[in-house]
Amino acid sequence: MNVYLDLTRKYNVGALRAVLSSGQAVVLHRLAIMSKDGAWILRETPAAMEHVRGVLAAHGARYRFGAPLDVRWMEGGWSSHLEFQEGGLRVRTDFVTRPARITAEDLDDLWNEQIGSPLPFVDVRRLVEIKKTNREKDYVIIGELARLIANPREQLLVSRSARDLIRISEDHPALTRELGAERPALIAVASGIEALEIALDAERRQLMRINEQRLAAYAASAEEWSLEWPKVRREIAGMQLAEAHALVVDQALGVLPFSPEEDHPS
Amino acid sequence: MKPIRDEFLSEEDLALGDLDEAELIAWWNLWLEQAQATNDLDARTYSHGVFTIEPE
Repeated sequence: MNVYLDLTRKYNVGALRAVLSSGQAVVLHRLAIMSKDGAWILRETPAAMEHVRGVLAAHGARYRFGAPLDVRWMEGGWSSHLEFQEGGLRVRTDFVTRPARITAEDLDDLWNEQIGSPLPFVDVRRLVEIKKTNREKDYVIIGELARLIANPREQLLVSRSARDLIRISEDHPALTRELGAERPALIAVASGIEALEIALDAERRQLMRINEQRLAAYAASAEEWSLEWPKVRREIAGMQLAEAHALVVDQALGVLPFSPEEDHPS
Repeated sequence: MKPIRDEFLSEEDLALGDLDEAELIAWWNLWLEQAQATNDLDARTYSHGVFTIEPE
């Protein structure tokens, strides 16, 4: 048994509540093992979060700095982070309910598609979006994930390989031109491999900057909470998770805004 | 001749596709065990989500 598979199954006992995401989902797509932490997309309901907290409590998990695993914060796009030790492993469990770059409609579709799955994990297309972070190594993964996609339209929209894109564009020239409006890097296909490589590099840097700006907004909104956290961490040390959760929620109220937009209304 | 292609991952990474489920889990668990060697280095950082560093 693997700890992340075990947790995913426990989270989903009796109902679909959690979809394994990010690096551990990449393993299940048989691409690479590159992350020692687990990440899940959770159902945005109090019942789902209570169930997951119960599973984690049984493992002796403790809160790391982050948002409480509570709908009020999670619906603002925050992430919640817990950790425990087991079998010689430091097991980190990271949660969101609104993964970056996945629309609300697409998220609904994800949940519908995962109903009945014995081991829910994020599909290739959405994993590509989730991996558009500010870390270089995630674009390596996107590059290989794209090769698992059979649909030429989706390949043209996500491939990181100039060679692959040129090959696909030769078979689908009209589609490539059409998708240039959605993915401007594709316009460079017509100028050859070197121009396309430059466009792909620029695209990656732009995506990384967009994610950096997103994280900066959350960091600014969490500034007061980050100052409070060392005190909160001391207070919850040694507590059972249920008790610690209640205290973290109590301390976060009025300190950590439910969403960055609430902190900086436009 | 094998055509040149852009390489993103090593052949070792991509060889996961050749493993059966039991072999994959064994390899995965071994990797996780070995990765614990860097726990002190990433004690305060985050792999996912909107937080990047844990306050001291």
